[in-house]
Amino acid sequence: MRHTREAEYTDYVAARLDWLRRTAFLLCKDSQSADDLVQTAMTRLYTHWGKARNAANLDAYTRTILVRVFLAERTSAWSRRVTLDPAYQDSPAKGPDHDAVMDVRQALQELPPRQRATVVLRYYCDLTVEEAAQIMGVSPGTVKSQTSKALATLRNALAHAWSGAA
Amino acid sequence: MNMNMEEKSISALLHRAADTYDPGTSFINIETARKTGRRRQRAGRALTTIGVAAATAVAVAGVLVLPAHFRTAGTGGSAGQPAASARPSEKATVTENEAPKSFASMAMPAAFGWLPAGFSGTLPGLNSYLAADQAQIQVAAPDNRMLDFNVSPWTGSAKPAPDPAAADPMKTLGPAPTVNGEPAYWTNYGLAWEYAAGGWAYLSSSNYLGSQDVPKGWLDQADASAQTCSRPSPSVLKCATPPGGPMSAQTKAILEKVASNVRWTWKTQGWYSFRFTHPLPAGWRITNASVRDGAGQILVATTNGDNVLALGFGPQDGQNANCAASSATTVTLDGIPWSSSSERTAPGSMYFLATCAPVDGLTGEITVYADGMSVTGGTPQPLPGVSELGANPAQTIVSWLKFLGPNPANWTSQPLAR
Repeated sequence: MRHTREAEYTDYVAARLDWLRRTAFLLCKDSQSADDLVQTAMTRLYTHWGKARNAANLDAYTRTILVRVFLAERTSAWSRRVTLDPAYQDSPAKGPDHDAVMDVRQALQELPPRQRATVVLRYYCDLTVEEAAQIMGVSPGTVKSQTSKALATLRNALAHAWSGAA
Repeated sequence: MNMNMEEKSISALLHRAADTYDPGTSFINIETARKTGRRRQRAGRALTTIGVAAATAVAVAGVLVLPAHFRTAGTGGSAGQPAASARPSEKATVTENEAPKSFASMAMPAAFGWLPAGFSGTLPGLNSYLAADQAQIQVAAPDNRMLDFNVSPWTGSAKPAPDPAAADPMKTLGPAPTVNGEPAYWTNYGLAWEYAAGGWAYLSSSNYLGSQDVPKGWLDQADASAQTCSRPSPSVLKCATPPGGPMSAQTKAILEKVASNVRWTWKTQGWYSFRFTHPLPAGWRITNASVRDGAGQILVATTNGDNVLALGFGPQDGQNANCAASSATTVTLDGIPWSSSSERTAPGSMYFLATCAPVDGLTGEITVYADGMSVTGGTPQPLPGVSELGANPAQTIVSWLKFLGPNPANWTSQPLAR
């Protein structure tokens, strides 16, 4: 029985790892922090696997863990002691829209963590205001206001890129 | 979901940003997640069974049954060790010469008996991170050289953990001279030795938080490659280019000497610039303690593991950015302006309070989590004890604190009310 549970967990995480890393990357701004977030979320998922495997939507359960771990870490007093060497930058794969991707990554970095989480949940995970609010443990009104502020910041940050592309 | 044009553009860009994400080498390890998860499940069951007081006794038991030479090697080896007796059942789980299963969350396990010239092992030139499953002590010299000392509780591993076969950047390179008679190995990060059966200590000379200006003669090529390393979390060291290759004889000699002079004091050495004058609510316990730039910070969680309070004050923090937050209001407490803000959540709120002017020479911030951001259950629940804090929990916490001023000589190692 235990073996089956372990195998289920391993199979699920292995299959969804790429999705988790991409979502975490948008939340965290860099691959190292994203890897840490995924590792922590995976550990949390394991400890709650008995409940998670019976969840109606396992992906939604996992995504909730990922986002809540992200938010909890970013609001802790000693998250300030985490320092990322600025010399180490992630670069997107080369492609025709390389510059646009760099612009949106840079714009995301300018958002506070909660606004970034809101944007990722709403516009990457394609969730409704109510769904995002449930995951973040906040009211729908808070999600709306965070979204509004985030869009304003992104609008300003990306204005140059968009005007240049026009 | 209906979106306007702007939202559709943002969505498309986010998907492109994610789709083009090329993370390269991954340090994620599913097996590590399973192992850590199992350990936390066991710890959680133990806490549920025996309660907070007995859980403290478990940590004490780990200290009390450490090998005799650990208790006597350091100065003041018995100082700071609680006199409470351990329950026989827990004590029996740790045998003589075996590493403790967990650490007391506010106790540094060791101190440096010797450091290279320029280093200071005394506060305030010391950073640390202390938790039940890890103790990390970092010391630096004024020229940004750094030594990083990590100690793990019992892992049951016969060789430095993590296992070289795992997808982890640390690799065992070969045996090293024994450290005070204990098995030791060279890894690509430095020296690892088994301080007690099943428990490993790690000492490295990485400068991951330091400047790019590494003094010649200190770091060899292998160490220097770690300049682009970072420590995104206390338990992980990551590098763009994993360090490797031979370590210089000079670096090896220094690490060996530092390691052989480590004093296993197991005493509380974190110093805090504040002290609680009021006991913490029932069900709260300190889960992590850290020292940053010499000033102690603590994280308090419920017995379920949910964060409930974080606070840290020090002379180094300066003006807090929260003071400039547009959503914050200024409240005056005992003549001191504080930046107060809260965030409405379901079913509770999160409260923030940051000093806008020094309080007895100290600045810092308090966060009270009252929202039940728990993933331990399907429905977020109000955290225990928060209702006792009144309408503004953060302000209540302030009233429970006595600030001890900027001089570390006046700080305390016991910040909790007795």
